[in-house]
Amino acid sequence: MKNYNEMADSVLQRVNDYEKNRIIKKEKIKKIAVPVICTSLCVVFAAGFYFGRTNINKPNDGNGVFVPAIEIHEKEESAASMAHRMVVFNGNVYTDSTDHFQWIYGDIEVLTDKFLGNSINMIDEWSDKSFYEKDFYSTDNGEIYSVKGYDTDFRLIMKTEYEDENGNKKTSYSLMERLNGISLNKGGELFGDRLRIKDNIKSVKFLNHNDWDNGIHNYKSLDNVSDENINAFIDELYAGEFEYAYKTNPEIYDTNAQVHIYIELNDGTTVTLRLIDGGYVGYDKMPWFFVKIPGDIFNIIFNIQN
Amino acid sequence: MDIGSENYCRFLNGDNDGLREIIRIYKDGLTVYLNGFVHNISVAEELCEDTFVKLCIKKPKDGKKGSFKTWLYTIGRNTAVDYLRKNRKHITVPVDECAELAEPLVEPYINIIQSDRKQAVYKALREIKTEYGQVLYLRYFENFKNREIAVIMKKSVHNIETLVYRAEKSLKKQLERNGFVYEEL
Repeated sequence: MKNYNEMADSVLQRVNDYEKNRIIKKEKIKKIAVPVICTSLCVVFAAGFYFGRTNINKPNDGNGVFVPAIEIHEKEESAASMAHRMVVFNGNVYTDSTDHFQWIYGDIEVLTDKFLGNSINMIDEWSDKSFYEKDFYSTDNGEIYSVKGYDTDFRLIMKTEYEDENGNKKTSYSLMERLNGISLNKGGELFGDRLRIKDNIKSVKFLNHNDWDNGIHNYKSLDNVSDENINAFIDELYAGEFEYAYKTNPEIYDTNAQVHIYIELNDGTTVTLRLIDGGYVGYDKMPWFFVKIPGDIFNIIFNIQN
Repeated sequence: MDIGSENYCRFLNGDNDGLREIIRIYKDGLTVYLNGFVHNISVAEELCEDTFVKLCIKKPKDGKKGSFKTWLYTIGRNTAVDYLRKNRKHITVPVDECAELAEPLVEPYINIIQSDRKQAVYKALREIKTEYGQVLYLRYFENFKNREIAVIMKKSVHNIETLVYRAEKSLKKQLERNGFVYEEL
C-alpha cells in the first residue's frame, strides 16, 4: 500500500510521461501526416468528383437483438448487485427508469392512470428466483398504476412513501419500465412503439460528456438545430437497426467523444439518449444496445457540443 | 472556497505541493469508497491514483467552484464504473462469501474504520446491495449531504432520499443477522 507521498510521486511521474508522449506524438504527426494528408486530399477530391458523394457510415445490416430477461442468480458479482427498484407485473420484471433530468424537469404524478394493485416489499438481496415470478412482489411497498398514453407491457408508475433525512414523510412517483426479455430489430420498436418520440417533442436539450462525467447539470438547448434536422435524426433513429455493442464494439465506452441528449416530450416524460462517435445512439436505460445511423444526420446533432 | 479547491488552485498555478496536499487529505477516504465497488483494496488504490492522474491531465476548471470533495468523488466513481465495465466478469461469487473473499482493509485504510461499532457497520455495508452500501458510506463515513451524494451518483436528490431510506432498512436487517442491535450502533 502506498503512503500519500508515494502516490503523489507516482501521479506526477505518470503525468510527466503522458506529457512527454503527447509531445512526441505531435511531432511525429507533423512529420508524417502533413505530406500524407496533402496526398490523400488530392486522391479523395478526385475520387469524390468521379464517384459522387458517398455515405461512409452505413447502418448495421444485422437482424436485431434480444435483451435477455433479468436473471437472478443465487450467486451475484458485486457489479451486478445494484439496488434497482423493481416490481413484477404479469410475470415480467420492471425496473426504475426515473433519472435526475426527469425529476427536475418532468412531472410523473400527472401521468398516473388506473390503479393496478399494491406492490409488496418481498424482494431483497436474499430473495431467490421464485420471488421474481410472483406478481406485485417488489423491492418496495407501494401502489402500481398504469401510465397515461403508454402500454402496461412497457411502462408502469410506482407510488411509494418514505422519510427524508429530517424524518419528514414524503411521496415518490417512479416510472418503471420493462426493458428486458424483449426482442428489438429496428429503432422504431423502442423509440416509437414504446417511447413515442415522433410528433411528440416539446424540446431537446444536451449535456456535453465532460459535464455529465463531472456531475455538472449544465443542460443547454439545441437552439441551433432546425426542427427539420431533429425530425430527420428521429426518422433515422426509427429506421436504424439495433446492435449489441458489447459483442460488436466492446471498446465503445472508452472514448470521451460522447454527448447526452434529453428529449422532453409533450406529456412530461423525457427520453435520454447517449450519442457516441461513429453514429451510435443508445437509450440511456439500456447500456450496450445501440442503433447506428448515417454520419451526416448523426453529426448534425453530435457536433452541437462544439 | 474549501480547502480542496484552494489546493487545486495552487496546483493549477504550477505548485505541485497543492496536489500533494490534495492526495494527503483525500486519498484514504476515496480509496475506501472505491473499495466498495471493486472489493479489492489494491485495485481500489490503483483507481484512486487513476482519479488523481485524470485530474492532473485534464485539469478541469470545475474543481475551483463548489465542493471539491464532491467533485473528486464523482470523478472517482466514474473511474470505478469504467473499470467494472471493462472488466465485466461472469465469474460469480456467492453474496454471503463476498466479505470474506475480499481483501481485508489494511493500514492505512483501516484507520478510517476505527471503532468496533464502525467496523460492524462497515462489514454490514459490504454485505448489502452495492448501491445501498455506497450511499450509506458516503452519508455516514464521509458526511456528504444528500444533494452532494446526488451529484456523485448521478441521481436526483429525491432518488437519493428514497435510496437512503431503503438502504437503512437493509442495513438494519443485515446488522441483526450479524448479531448487532441497530439502535445501539
